Amino acid sequence: MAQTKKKKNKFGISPSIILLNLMLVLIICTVCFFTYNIINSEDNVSSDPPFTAVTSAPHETTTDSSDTTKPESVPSSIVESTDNPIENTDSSSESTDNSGTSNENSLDFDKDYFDNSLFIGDSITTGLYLYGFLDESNVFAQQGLAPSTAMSADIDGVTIADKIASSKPEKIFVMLGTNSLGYGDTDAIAESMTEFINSIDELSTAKVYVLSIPPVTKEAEQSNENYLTNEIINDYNSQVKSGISQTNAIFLDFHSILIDSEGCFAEDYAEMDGIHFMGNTYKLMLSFLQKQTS
Amino acid sequence: MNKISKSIIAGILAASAALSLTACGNNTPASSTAESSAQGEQQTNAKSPAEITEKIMQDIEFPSMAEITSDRLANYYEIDAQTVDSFSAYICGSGAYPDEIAVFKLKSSGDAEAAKAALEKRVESQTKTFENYTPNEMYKIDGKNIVTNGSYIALIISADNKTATQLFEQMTK
Repeated sequence: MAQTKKKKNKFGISPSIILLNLMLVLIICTVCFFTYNIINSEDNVSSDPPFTAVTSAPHETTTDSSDTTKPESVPSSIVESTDNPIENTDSSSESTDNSGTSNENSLDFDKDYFDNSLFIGDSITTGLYLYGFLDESNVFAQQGLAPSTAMSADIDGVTIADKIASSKPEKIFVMLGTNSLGYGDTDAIAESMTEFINSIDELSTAKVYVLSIPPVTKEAEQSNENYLTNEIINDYNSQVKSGISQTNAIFLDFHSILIDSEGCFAEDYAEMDGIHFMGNTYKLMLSFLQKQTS
Repeated sequence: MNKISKSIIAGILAASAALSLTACGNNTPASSTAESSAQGEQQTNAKSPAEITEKIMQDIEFPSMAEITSDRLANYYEIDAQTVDSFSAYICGSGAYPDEIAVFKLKSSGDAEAAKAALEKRVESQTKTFENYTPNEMYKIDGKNIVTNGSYIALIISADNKTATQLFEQMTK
């Protein structure tokens, strides 16, 4: 009868119990191994280069390039990464074939497309390089610049004539007027703009594009801080459009894609002051310009 | 060996299995902890420039801010990149406001004077840009702070320079 007893080791434990425990250890270790790898792969998605502006700050949510609706609402205190445009640029280069066929509110653009372009404007236009969407060499812009002062303006020792002569742009984009409209005569400012465009045209063989100036938000209009109203802006844009029709320049109505249902600057596109642009607004602008001019 | 002894030994085996789970689970954090404590000894308790700017931008209201990446650093600060260990800098991307926050961790505290001179130049440039454009915002530049703490140096231009400076000092101790 002793022969029927199960075989035991010197501790008196049956092999089945040992096997069971070993299997348990094996299963647990396998689960640990895979969990460890999954966690590690997630952690290693973003690794910083040795010398860098480390980006752990609260960035804006990158609007997916396929998201062709208005950008999502953002708090007044927001950080917009300049890394994103580069990524968007890469992805946009693939989607430029869809020019003219996709939604007008696309944020896709190809930075390289603007390599031979020059943007002339005021503080709003400075954002193109402050955000890093374009190189500073592609922009001639300054806080406070107006149609009447642009020709004589000296930005870090460079005039617009110098800039055009040195960079020989193929396309010139001009967006000016916001700074003076609240304080001056709309007709006179629009006339200055036409004169400025004619001067630019004489200086360059580039194709000149004139952008309608952006609207202001309802809040900015009501605050009356800059005496800017959408009625004045609309009047100015109409006059500029009419004025430059006598020139070689082409009018591009960027204003119309920035407005909300009430004809004011859509809040999501506007900086805290209701006049300047958020980062996504520049993407929208460059995407619009690429489609309109390619 | 009686049943009780068997149960004890089986229990020990099960406990060893449980311990192996704990060992696996703790693998990553343990090594991270070791790294952070090693780093901690080197940098005392100071936070990274990115952590500092993040905290300041969380606690104080800023307009839309754009990050200055390392490839654009020279466009804004005449600071010798060779002296910089790491940095984190943000400017107002829309061009509407003078707000700016830049924190540099230098390789040596001996480079702080040169870095300070570079940041002062930046303030001069911003003063020229904004003094006639937005006089209402000049209080931010007038009350700016270029503050150093060991190998850290910061330029702070914000609506609340005092709080931002305090945060910088707390986080670079």
